[in-house]
Amino acid sequence: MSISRFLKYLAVIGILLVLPLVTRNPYGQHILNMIFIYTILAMSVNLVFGYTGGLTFGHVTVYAIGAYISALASTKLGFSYLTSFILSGLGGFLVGIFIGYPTLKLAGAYFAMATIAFDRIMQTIFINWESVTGGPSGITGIPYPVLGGVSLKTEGQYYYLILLVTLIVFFLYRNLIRSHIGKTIMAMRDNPVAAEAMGINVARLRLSVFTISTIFASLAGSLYAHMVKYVAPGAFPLEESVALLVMVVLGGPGFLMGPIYGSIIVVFANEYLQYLESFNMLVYGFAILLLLIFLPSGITGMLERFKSRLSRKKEGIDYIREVGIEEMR
Amino acid sequence: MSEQLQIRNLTKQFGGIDALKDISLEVETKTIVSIIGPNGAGKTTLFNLVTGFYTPDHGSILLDGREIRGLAPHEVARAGITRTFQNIRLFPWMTVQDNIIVARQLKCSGGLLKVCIRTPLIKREEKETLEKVGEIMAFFQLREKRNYQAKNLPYGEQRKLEMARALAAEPKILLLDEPTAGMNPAESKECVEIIYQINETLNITIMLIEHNMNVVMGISDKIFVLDHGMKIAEGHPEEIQNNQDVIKAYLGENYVTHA
Repeated sequence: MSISRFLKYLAVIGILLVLPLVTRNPYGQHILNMIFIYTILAMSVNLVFGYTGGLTFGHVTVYAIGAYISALASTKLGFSYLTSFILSGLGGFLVGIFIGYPTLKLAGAYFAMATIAFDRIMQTIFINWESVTGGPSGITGIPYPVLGGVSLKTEGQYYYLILLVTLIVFFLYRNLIRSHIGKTIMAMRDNPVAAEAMGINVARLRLSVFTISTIFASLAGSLYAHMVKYVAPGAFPLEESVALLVMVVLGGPGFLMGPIYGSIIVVFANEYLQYLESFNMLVYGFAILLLLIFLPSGITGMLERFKSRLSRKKEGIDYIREVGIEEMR
Repeated sequence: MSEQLQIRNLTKQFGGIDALKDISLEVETKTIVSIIGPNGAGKTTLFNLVTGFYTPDHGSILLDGREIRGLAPHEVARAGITRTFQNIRLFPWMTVQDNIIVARQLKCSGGLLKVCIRTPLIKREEKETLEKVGEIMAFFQLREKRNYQAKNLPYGEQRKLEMARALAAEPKILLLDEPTAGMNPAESKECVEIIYQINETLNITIMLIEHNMNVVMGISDKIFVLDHGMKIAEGHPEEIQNNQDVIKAYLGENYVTHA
């Protein structure tokens, strides 16, 4: 790694480490923590939607499952934080396999509907299976994490755990996308028939990517549960999955950094929209429509196009480095 | 020379139509074989059956004695048969190099988890892949354009890239579906040179679907003629040129010379 790249990484990590000092109150800290959790979720949705082309409304459901598993493991079963966290990940893995296997065979809108159905099913289970899930009131009293003797009681302290998990997830996600297999995934999105003819087991690769995304989503759920210390069905409405899709599309679907830009912007925009009170949904809806019409490749898409126009002037050829899902059409 | 590919009594129907009826043919190792016939004869259907995109209704397909009928397309590719398509199916938005890297993936072990962590094994594999891909690009003179998006290549080079991808898998048999379609005589000549090279230096068996008779007659060790889903002739180029059934199928009854 070159010196300049190393310094850049150091600078970014440095800034991330001192961010809690910028947030002036617990509410600000909570928002900051949620941005990171949403970033993990947005990355997981980007893997499925941006890189595999599957329109998913089910990732908040997986997030909920992860949250419930961690909540149950640490309250009713008395497991340690780390065990609960890992169990959430395991749950995410199983969801990925069992839900992914039948649904990934479905095309486009049918896959989307299957994910919505999955959400409805899980909501019904959360609300009705009172003995396990605590019904509509959910599970309270989820303990704060204690890792190696260190207690993370405040949101400011918890931030560092969330930051660590987010960085690890980002690292894994980025390695996957940038690897040769990442190119294979994009090729599969581009032209699955040609990919199949070249020896790529498209069905299995899709399932693998889907499962990685569900593991990420459920781990995010565990982080959430131990942060707010309370999970209930109402915390995981279907609209949240829509919000995730908005983050991914706004940031740039099928682009590496897309979900990160998207989650930051959407969380901030949401905060400012509160000021409009009853008009916030109107503005939100319009914003989404405008986005879809004028900026289907999101912010990153715009940046990449700009970069390619610059290189066209220099080298005379069209040279888009990264291609999101919209360009394929 | 042994029979590398044996197709026996292959039949495929679509609705009420017999796309292929009781086709049997044998391809010897390291030969160049052409499949010719009027449009709609079933040539591409034959390719699709061999490569697993269609499942035959009857018959069997043996590769080195092993039954490959019913295998999925990716399994057939892994077994050693790769193909190019009639209408080019490159990944247009990916670079030339990336297109070939993806084609090479079936040779790599790539466990997804190991890839995410970037184990030393994965790093070594990626390095080896890049070297091999470099060699392939050099063979097709695509090295200078390796960072060009495939869609920006001129047609002739796109076809070369398609062949490069099919070769990256190091197949035993390469199926080329109308490789010189849309090419002028100079480009066709270059294409023929490349096909010869692949056959001679890389020892790969080649099956072609072609309409350009100059190419077919010049390059083939053996020719199979299909018409309306049935094999109407097989033999060496000289035999086929004078075969009355072939002439009738292509040009019509009027051109058949009666003894």
